[in-house]
Amino acid sequence: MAEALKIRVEPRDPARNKGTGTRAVRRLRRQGRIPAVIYGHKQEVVPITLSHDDVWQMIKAASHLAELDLGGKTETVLIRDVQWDNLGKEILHLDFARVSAEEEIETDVNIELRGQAAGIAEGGILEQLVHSLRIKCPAGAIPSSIKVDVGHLNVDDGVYVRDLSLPPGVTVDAEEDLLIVHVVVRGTTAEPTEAAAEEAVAQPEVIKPERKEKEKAD
Amino acid sequence: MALMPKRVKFRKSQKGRVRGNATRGNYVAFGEYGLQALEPGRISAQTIEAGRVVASQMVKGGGKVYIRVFPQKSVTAIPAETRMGKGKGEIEFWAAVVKPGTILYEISGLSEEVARETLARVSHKMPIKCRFVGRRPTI
Repeated sequence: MAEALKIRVEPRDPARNKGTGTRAVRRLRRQGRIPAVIYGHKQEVVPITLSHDDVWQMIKAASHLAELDLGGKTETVLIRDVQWDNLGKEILHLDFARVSAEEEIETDVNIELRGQAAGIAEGGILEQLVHSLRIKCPAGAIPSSIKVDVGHLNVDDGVYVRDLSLPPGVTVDAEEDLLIVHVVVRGTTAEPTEAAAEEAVAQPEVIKPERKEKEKAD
Repeated sequence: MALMPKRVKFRKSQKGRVRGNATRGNYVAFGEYGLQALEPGRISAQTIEAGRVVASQMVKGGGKVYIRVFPQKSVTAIPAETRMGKGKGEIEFWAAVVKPGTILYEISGLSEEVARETLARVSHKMPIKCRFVGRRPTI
């Protein structure tokens, strides 16, 4: 379980439309701060800002929970949503939801593969189909990742959701038959044949409007 | 084998302009690493195929290559030394319209070093600036 990071945050300037306007948040981003919002538990919504470095520290620590220090008042929050820019380089905005440690929450957790699959030595490829899973657990017991041992996997073997060994109190919100990772035979993808190539040369079929077809039938 | 749609509502389309940034298809979804477009542009079906061939040669069955763009748009041209008029030209090629941020290719099953080298070679085939990206962290 990842520890909740303690982060100092600042409220946004209430004199300037609570600091929530486009120009205000752009100015904040230029200063290296990220706008965010705290909500939940039927309390008021609080617009805040936090340091860019603190957010990246949370990302590196794979920490879902944080303890935000807002002017001496500490709130335990869960990262509910992250907005990225179009290139996925910068975080534009964060949503924090107030939680208590015993509260049952839903969140996405990364899957971490452990070991070297035995099937790779036999000429297989390890293919990971699912990279994160939605879990339900108490907020105080969110695992930093779900560890999957792939060392025993031979060719055509796989690990399904039902095979996962989860920490106590954690349930996965997915079908039991969902395949997470498997070892497939190398080079099974068929190269395009000549027949397929000939077929491809032809132009696409044009979907004719139904109205005209009906008129012809009349 | 160049990609093209199987069925279309209209064979020819207007040229259009590529404006704005990608808001969909702008993160690595299937593989572990990807090649991201940094400029707007059109990527022809032949270019997409050239990139796929380079990636497949580098991967040699040791990983998996995903193509994240599809040439939906037909591009027409009139023959050289033709007088103006007489309607729109014939279809010359099919192209994918790409906005900055679009993931063009993804790769899985390779180390970061090999994936970086592979996608660098693929990016040399592309008519636009591209960059190597990994998966976005889940938090």
